[in-house]
Amino acid sequence: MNKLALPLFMIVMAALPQVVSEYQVYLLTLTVIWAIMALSMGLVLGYIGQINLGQIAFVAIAAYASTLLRLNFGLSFWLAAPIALAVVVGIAAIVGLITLRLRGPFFILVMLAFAEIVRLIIANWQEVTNGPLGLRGIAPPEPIFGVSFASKTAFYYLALVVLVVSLAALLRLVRSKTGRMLVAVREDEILAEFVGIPIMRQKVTGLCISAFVAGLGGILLGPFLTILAPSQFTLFASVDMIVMVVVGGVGTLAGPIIGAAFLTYIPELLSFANHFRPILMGVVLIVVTLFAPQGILGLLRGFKRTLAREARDGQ
Amino acid sequence: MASEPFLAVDHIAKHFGGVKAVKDVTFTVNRGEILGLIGPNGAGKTTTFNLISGLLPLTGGEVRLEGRRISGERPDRIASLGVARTFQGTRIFPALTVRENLETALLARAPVGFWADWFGLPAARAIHAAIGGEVTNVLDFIGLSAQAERIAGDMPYAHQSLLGVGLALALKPRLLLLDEPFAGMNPNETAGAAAMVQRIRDSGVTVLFVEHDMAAVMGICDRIVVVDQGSKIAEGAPAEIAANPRVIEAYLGSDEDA
Repeated sequence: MNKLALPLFMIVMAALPQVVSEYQVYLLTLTVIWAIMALSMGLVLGYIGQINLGQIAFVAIAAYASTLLRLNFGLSFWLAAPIALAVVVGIAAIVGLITLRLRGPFFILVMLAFAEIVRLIIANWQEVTNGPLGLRGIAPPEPIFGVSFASKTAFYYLALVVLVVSLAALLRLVRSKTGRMLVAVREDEILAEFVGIPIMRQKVTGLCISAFVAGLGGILLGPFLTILAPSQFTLFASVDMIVMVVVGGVGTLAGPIIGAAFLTYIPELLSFANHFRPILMGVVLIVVTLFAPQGILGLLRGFKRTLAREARDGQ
Repeated sequence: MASEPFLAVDHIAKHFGGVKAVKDVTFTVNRGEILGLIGPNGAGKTTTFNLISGLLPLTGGEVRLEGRRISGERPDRIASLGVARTFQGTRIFPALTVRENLETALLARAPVGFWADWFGLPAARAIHAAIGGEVTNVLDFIGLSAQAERIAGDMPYAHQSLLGVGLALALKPRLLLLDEPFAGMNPNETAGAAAMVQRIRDSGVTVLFVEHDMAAVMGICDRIVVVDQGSKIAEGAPAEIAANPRVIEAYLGSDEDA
């Protein structure tokens, strides 16, 4: 991605709420939160090279932990959020140490089981989580530094800041030693170990960072939806994230965001019925894998190359 | 200790279940020489390599580097002690460019702090700059400067093979193990690679290599060790080996077999 893309993206996203309706601001916020979650999946798919069907568990843990801290202990959002994120990273480290030794289908199955366990705990631990009825009436984040987040637009800007800061930080990360070592491990574990890369430590670090980003999406979900219920955190949510990454472009960071915009904004806009969503996601995944394995970003790059070639040939 | 050889391979053995891939192999490598390890297919050459570099645990015997036992250590530990290797069929990071491949190998052990590098602090940037310089040197040495920005996996096999040697050199070894460095190369490329092996030795690195290409082996080795069916059958200068009846028998089969 060229250097102009990120500032341009920020300007457009920042300007949008000024020109669109309140419902569209809601959709934009939803898109941004999905983009944050897809970004976390993009790290797993593209840089750890694993498919994580349990990624939504990290979102769920952060969402419930931060909200429960607020509702039960009266903590402010700004104190509850970092605690919840620390919890998620800690859990990711423990889970990663166990599961990242596994390869291919075994990792996928164990992470799927992990996510189901988390969901079942949330659904059945009535006294704490209120079970399937969920937590209701979650307030927007408390004002901080004189900024109120009571309005939908203000909350949208908060989510946007989280997305942009995450994206900027991850863009730096993948170019740093950590990013390169992750890619090396993904490419050839035996060679990576041989040149002196501590494989498990790299993978666990990668999963922790990914869980942190997923957690960022999680802490925003409660105040955004004002309700949290276990039904929001099923396998399908992880699949949605995967489809977003694949549609946008695996192995990039812009890809997940493009995919999230595509798959959140467009179906909602066309008012697709919600229960068709899993089917739609499956169809999209098949079509993209067959016809555009590099995703939308790959199509754009191919288009750019074609244009450049035609311009050159025309001379 | 003065009498300790640079690398001592001392009665090593490797059994896979009932199969004795390496029965009993003993030889030494002297500092600064190019030693060729040859033998017919299935003789146990690559297994011997895997035992020295720690990729496989030994069934018996031990390997010492300057008198210090290295067998039983992890492969990355052995590499950090100064024994680097290439892999048969070549291992590289295919999706990365040639430059990025070498950067990765150099970066792996570089003392770059996680946070310092994430946020691009000057200390981390200085290390990256130093690594950039080293990469240029290695690229020059292996003759891939012109291919630096190519995706490694898209290059012809001979170039990938050179990059494999470059990755091993990036670990700054004192002993370099090359597993069939000339496989898949045409005579021109073989000559170039053989010249490179000699330059590696001239730069102060001891070289031990496994190879099928007898012409190349005879041309550049100081000494040759011949293994057959998991045991050493001969050792000596190239001319002696070429005249050794046991070696000829191992390669061509004895009259009784015919």
